[in-house]
Amino acid sequence: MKLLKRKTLPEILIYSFVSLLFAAVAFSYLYILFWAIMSGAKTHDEIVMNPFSFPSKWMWEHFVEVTKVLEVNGHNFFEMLFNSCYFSIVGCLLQQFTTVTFAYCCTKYKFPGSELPYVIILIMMTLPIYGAGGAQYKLFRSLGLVDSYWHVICSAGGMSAQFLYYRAFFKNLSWTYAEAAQIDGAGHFQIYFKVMLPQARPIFGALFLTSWLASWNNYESALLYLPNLPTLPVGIYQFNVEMMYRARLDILFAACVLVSIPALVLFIAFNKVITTNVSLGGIKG
Amino acid sequence: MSSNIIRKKHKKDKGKIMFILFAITIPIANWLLFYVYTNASSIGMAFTNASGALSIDNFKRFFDEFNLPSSDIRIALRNTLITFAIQFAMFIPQVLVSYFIYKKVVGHRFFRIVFFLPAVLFSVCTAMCFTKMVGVNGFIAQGVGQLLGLDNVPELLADSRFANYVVWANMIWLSFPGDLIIWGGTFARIPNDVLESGKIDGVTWWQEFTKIIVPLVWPTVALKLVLTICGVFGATGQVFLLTGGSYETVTLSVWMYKTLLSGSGNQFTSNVYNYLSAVGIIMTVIAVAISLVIKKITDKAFDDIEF
Repeated sequence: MKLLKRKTLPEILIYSFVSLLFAAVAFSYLYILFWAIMSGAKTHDEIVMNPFSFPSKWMWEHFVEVTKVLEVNGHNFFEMLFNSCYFSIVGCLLQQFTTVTFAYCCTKYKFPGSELPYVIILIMMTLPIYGAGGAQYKLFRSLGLVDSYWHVICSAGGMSAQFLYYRAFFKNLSWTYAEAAQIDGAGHFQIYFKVMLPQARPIFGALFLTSWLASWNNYESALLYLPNLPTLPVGIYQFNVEMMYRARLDILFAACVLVSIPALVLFIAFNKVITTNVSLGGIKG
Repeated sequence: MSSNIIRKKHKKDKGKIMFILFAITIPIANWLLFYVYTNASSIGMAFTNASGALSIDNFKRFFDEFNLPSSDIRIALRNTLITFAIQFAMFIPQVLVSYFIYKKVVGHRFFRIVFFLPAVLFSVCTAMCFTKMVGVNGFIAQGVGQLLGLDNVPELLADSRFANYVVWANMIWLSFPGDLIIWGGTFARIPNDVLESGKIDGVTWWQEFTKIIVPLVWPTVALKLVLTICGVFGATGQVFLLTGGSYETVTLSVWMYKTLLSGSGNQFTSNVYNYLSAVGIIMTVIAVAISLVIKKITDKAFDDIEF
């Protein structure tokens, strides 16, 4: 209250303008969500002819019908749901676990080359190499990782930007707990799994959620590498490609809404965790 | 006694080595295979022609195509640079969004959640909604038609006169909040006592912004800027979903992705992947040059970058 009183006129004007602008943008994002839900309850023709008007009759049954109609190349909704869950959850867990372990090891242990991953990642980030997708596809093909549930092992690595976040976290984490455990006779594995890794839970959770979200919504690489093990995004993408003769935009939007629900729920529930635990560069906390 | 200690130490070292091996083997193997080997073989592919012999045909083809004014690759390069310029300009509003949320502008709690929607919602969903909204039956396309006095309502996304502008508008709209996780975290870590003492000293909000906040967040801004500049050839909007790269909207990354997708059926017999590799190498060389120049110019400004 005190602060409000001290605000000067230009400040008040700027803040009001910003509030209005933000509100307009926020409204447009909410409208997209509302529009998708509304379209899911319309008929295909209504969506095409009157994209902005309310449905003449709200047909919520489309949201159930999705599970029957959304079928692509002989794969049904539940198969795609399973693939989506499998690739996003298993892949991201593997990725986060190998990355956090790698970062912990390189930060807390001194061995020849322990600083090297950090330097290499910085170089990789500032000098991205383009056009290696063809070589990668050929390699995946020859390793049998295309159209295979083994594809998740590609995620098991650690040389990525996320290494930097974990590194920053472990740099600031005191070694005293580990020392205490060491005196109690704990080995290196015990120290890591019982003492150090549990402390990294918040940042692990935050990075897991952000990469899970990217993976859950990802259709590009899934379309390329898993065309015969389609995930829901791939299924929806294909369904849209075949819209000319399917003529079921309602099912498309209903499916889009259903796919977005888990992401929305998790994001709202863990908003705080995600926004307060990841930091990049600059001010030291 | 002493031998006992030595043995114990030795045993500990073994445990340490085991743990280090456990932690580093998979990431290093993954990196060697999927980064080093992949990029090395990509370079090899760039210098291979359709019959598998060593040649520079792929590079010749690039320059031949590049010299044609209406070739895909030339359009893609132009669009990529424009997209990049927009992305670069969007930096300012993006940082300001997190700044004003941090300064608790009216409704900040609401914005903090809603501004995540473009990142949370499925991209096919936002792209399809957008497509239908700018479609011929929506008021946007009809308004554009009236404004320009056209006879028919234009199909904004299927008309090379408009498609690019619509794609860019879509990008500006969706990228307005920026990376809330990074920026939000950066502002949240500004020490409160610094601002408090500034207030006691009677600094105005403008002085606070320019003299305290900007210098404090500058390292993160600089880092993000450098990373954006280095990724210049990856710049793209929702082109693939909105137009599929048609109507002169293609960008380099969409062109590369489409090439990959189209070649995935016959990657062992066709030359498209080799050509893709060659184009990639040319872009990489240019990007390296840009990175080095940027580094030279900004060495001082980016001195205090810390990861």
